[in-house]
Amino acid sequence: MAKKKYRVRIVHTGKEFTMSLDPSTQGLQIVKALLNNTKLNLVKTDTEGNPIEYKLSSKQKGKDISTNTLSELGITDGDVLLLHQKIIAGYLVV
Amino acid sequence: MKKEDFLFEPSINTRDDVYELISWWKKDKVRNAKVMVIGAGALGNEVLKNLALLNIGNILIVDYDTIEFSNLSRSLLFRENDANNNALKCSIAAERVKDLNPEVKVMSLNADINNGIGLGVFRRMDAIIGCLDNRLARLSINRACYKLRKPWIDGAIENLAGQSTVYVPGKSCYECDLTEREKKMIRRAQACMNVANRSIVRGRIPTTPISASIIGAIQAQEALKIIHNYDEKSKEAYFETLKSKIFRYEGKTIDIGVYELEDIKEDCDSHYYYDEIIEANELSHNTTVGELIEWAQKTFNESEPEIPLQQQFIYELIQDKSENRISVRLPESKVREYIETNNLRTDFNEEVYLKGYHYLTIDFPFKELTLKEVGIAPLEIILIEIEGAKKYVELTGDSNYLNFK
Ligand SMILES: [Zn+2]
Repeated sequence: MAKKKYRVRIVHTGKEFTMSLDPSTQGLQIVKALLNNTKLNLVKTDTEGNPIEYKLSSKQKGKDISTNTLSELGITDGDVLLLHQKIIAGYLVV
Repeated sequence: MKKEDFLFEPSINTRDDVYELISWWKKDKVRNAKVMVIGAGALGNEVLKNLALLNIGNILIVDYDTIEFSNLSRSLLFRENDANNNALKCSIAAERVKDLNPEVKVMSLNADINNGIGLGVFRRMDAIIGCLDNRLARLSINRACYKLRKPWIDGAIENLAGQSTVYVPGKSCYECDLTEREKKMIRRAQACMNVANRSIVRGRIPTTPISASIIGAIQAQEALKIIHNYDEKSKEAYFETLKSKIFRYEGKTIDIGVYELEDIKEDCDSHYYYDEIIEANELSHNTTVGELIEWAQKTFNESEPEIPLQQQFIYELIQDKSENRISVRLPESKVREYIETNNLRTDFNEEVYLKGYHYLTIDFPFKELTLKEVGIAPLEIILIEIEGAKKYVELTGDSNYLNFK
């Protein structure tokens, strides 16, 4: 399938850029690609050294996307894909 | 025109009078509501403050921890003296909630959510709010709520960010949303929890009181909606809710959004329902194992009922270096404390192995022990396996255990 262009926004840094992706790509695969992109320099562990998980969502569709593909959720050209950090804590704060 | 002609001043003498000015407010629903808040840290403090101000009738606070000095910067219910006194978070939070609003009834339980709260407690709640710092506790709540088809409200904060979700059994699921790596981390935490230091499963993530205020407020508001049941089905009023959606707030970039969660998966250990619960008034956590087995034999006409335990019952500890065997009678969750108190780990590398039972059966040798002593929580709903069927039996004799004051 021909690649399409999507806007990607890293939510916690506010950084935005365009990414060419095959619409048959799963959300999880996009997250992996973003984490492996050394230019983005995304933090991979928290202050305790535990791995940080990331989640992708579509701004226009208002949906999380992980095991689904872009085309399965009808996410089309020009949509904004948001990369969020998954948050775990909330209880004990130091 | 006189001033009185256009100035309407309703008489406001109670907190209910204020809220009754809101058209959709149902005083009785709010006054009769029972809400459980699990975790009384930064987030829990904010949730509790809001529930108290909202005049929620009955508030149950569950926590196992004590107040430390480091908690004070984000916990408006705690004071310096509480930290000096090493006071329990749940008791102090209950005291301060009552102080904020004497009209609400409160109960506190110094218990671990992973094994200390019976399913019958969950069953009696109108809303369940998780204010936790780790995946294992969230998974425990998710599994409990799934069994009872109860929605639960999750919240999490970190730095200037936070998120909140309402999981609805059958539609959305905390466990389905976990990655394989997260599941691995939970299994590791589970293995460590009973025998190692609790800090392994406890997060120490820096946050501010701001994200706690924002997320705690969202959680309390979702609870209010659940109590009123003004969602898709309601004809009285319609509220958009966070059911099967996630609210995300990133303070650094002021990025705020609500996203639908992905569909639940087919293969997930949380997807298990306890339908048709048998209320056994004659059983309680003070019933002995022998009496429970006899009861099951008689009630279900089954000679060999089997009762799987949520946590192992340990009868022997073995120190690996000396091969010394120590006879004990402990639920697995009490083992860590026992090992520490009795100094059984002589050095850091010393392993202590556990021998225990996973089931209560007619062959269980300690039938004189009570259900409490084998680690079954008050108001638990016990799974009893009889030939070809599963029965879900509540220790309804513990009904008075829930006592809001
Ligand atoms: Zn699931």
